Amino acid sequence: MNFSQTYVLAVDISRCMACFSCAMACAAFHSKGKSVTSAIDEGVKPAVIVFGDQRGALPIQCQHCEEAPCMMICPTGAISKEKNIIKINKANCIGCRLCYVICPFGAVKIVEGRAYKCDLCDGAPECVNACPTKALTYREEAEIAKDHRYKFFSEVIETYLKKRGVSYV
Amino acid sequence: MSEKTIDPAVEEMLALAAEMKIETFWDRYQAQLPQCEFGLRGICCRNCLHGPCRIDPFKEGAQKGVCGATADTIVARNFVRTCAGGAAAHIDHARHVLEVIEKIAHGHAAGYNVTDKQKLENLAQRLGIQTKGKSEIEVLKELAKEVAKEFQRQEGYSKYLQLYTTKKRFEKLAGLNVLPPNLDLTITESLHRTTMGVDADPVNLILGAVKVALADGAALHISTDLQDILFGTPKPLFSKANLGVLREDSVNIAVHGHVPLLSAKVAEQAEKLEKEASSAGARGINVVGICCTGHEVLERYGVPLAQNFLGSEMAVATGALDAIIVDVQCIAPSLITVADCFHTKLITTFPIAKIPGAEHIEFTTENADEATNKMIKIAIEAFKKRDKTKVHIPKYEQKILAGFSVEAIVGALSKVDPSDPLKPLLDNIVKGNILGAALFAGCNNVKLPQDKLHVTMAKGLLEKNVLILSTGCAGYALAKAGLMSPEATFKYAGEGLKAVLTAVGKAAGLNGPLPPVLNIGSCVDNSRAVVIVNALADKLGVDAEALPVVACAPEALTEKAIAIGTWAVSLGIPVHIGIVPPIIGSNLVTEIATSKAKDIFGGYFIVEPDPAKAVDKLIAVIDERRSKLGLKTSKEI
Repeated sequence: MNFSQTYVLAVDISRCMACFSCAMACAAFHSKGKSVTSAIDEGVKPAVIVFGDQRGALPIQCQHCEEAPCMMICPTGAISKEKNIIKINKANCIGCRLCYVICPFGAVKIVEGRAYKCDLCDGAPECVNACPTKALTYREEAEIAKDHRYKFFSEVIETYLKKRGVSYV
Repeated sequence: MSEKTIDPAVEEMLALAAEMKIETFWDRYQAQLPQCEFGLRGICCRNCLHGPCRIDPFKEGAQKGVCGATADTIVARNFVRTCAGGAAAHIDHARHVLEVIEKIAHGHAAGYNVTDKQKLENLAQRLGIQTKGKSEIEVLKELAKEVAKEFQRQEGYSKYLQLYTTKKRFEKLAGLNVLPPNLDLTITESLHRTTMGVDADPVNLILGAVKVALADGAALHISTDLQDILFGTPKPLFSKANLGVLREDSVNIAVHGHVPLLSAKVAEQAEKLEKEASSAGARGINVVGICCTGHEVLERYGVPLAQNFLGSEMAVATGALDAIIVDVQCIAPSLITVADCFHTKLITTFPIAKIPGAEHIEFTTENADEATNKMIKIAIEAFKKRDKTKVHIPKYEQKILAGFSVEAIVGALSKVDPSDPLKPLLDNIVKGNILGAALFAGCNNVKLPQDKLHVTMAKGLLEKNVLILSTGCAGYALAKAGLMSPEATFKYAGEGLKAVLTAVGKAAGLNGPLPPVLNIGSCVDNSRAVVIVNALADKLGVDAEALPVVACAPEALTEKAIAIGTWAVSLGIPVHIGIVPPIIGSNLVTEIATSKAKDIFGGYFIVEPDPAKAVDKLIAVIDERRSKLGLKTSKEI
């Protein structure tokens, strides 16, 4: 479990094989019987949307925004932020679809007339466990930035050193 | 006990394997998780290059493949291909045995001869061959010619299927247009009808699966019959089961695979090379069995059973095997990795089954003696290099009484009533001493603890006086669990069953009861169970679908198991499986398999992974059938 503000669900698009394992695991986890079969029987849909075309695929889900447009626009206060997770209280949802329309990622679904989206499995996202290629990770945001910085740095420094004719083993 | 196995020998070996960092089926299964849900539900189609096409089970996305195939069509097509895969294995097996019969008849198979002359004559006569005044070779020639028609006939029906189904059933199957003219043809037809743009009707496709499964059944009958003729029809004999049968002081050779053409020769040549083994410092040569071919040599020569499928790696991991000689089917490619940790030689033999890193010695009908002789010599050489510090043989073995061919069972029963051998069996079914019969067949599956469903369910059914027959990996499971000894009858059989088994055992001069689990052989020997069922049905003037019999493949794994299960269903026998098959992506196909089939064939699939619930369901099926026959149910007895 991790509710830290600084944890984010990150996707490495180069590793996504469009296998839908994240979507299947999501639906299974949110069903009573904890299986895809029971999810289908209970009408539970995946909150992860594996979206894409011939160019590739990207699992899309709620980004749990700092200033969540869905939460701000919800007329009944059904959307709230608890422990840094944006949550929908189904009982208060009237199915107006404002959140669905305003989400910049298209990460909200309408299931049986009510808004439905990722709840981060209360801090231990099942989609991450299910991903067979580790395209999905749930990590400290600082760690992710550090990875990106290191990769960028390596490219720059290699080019620079090559030009100077220096090599390090 | 762990979640991996209930076999104490395998449990012990797994701990050792973990220490030695030997990768096992269970490790690789973990690495495969989560498995693709499209595949698990059967809603992925790769039959053309438009694909892979997948149907969204949540009904939010694609509901049709590019060609327009629905989930029902895709699931049904995949099911046909699964059955065809299984049937292909058995049909190829049957053809191989026939080839040897043919070559004996024409003098090209010096290493083989006819062992059961009576069975040859009986079969020839049943196939309409005049045997009077003809030499054995002449009869054999004609028999080979007649059986070869099963692979050649372009029109009409398989004669073999006609021979081995009740008249009523044959007419029903003919009416449904599911009787194949020849066995090979069904494979071609199955692949044709499921290729892009051919059969899209799920019901028609399922009937296609039945057709290829019936061809599978015919192949089982052919294999059993011809193998009995070649190597002898099994008679009851004592042997042992589990890894404790390996010997520290002997050259240990495992035969693994399915076709006795190889394993019987290995057993025979091993006896001839005993001297060479002793000069290498061994006490002798100890041949043991893994998977079905182990049954073939157990049932005929008393060769002990080492392990079933999930235990095959652990047999090698004992470090005590000098060679593992394999033919076809169920040979895990991982065996070479385990063998490489030791001195063990993995020897492949069939041109269609090679494993990188293994030693390949081509085995043919013509060179059977020389090739097997060479293989055993390799094992003896390997024995000299065996590292004794690496040997660990778990001390688990169970006494078993096996070898129950139909002839052996009828033979034992005829000691009770010589004029009408089946009468005591029927009388006891009517009285309720025997509530019904269950055939335990099929594999191990890593998704379930090894042997757990086989053993738990068999104990549950025996307690309720259900007589059990066993084949294949199921047979190994029950043998290793100690359910195949005469003593097991006292321990596990219900009162009624105990009395019957004791009476028959005594009459047959066995000095004790028959075991509560009668091992009828390998997977192809599932045919023996059908012969018994049909004989009982014929005697009562009913069809198999009326009899209180069920089949269980609780730990089903292979395509072959699915083909055999479908064959049994089409003959009117309910089939239990403990693994959810990849058909649940289609409600229509699932409904056909688990309920509509009952109306059409009398048989149907029962899917239940919980052993206790499965026993209850099977008892309910047996009771339902008993009450239809006007017999008392388990609750009334």
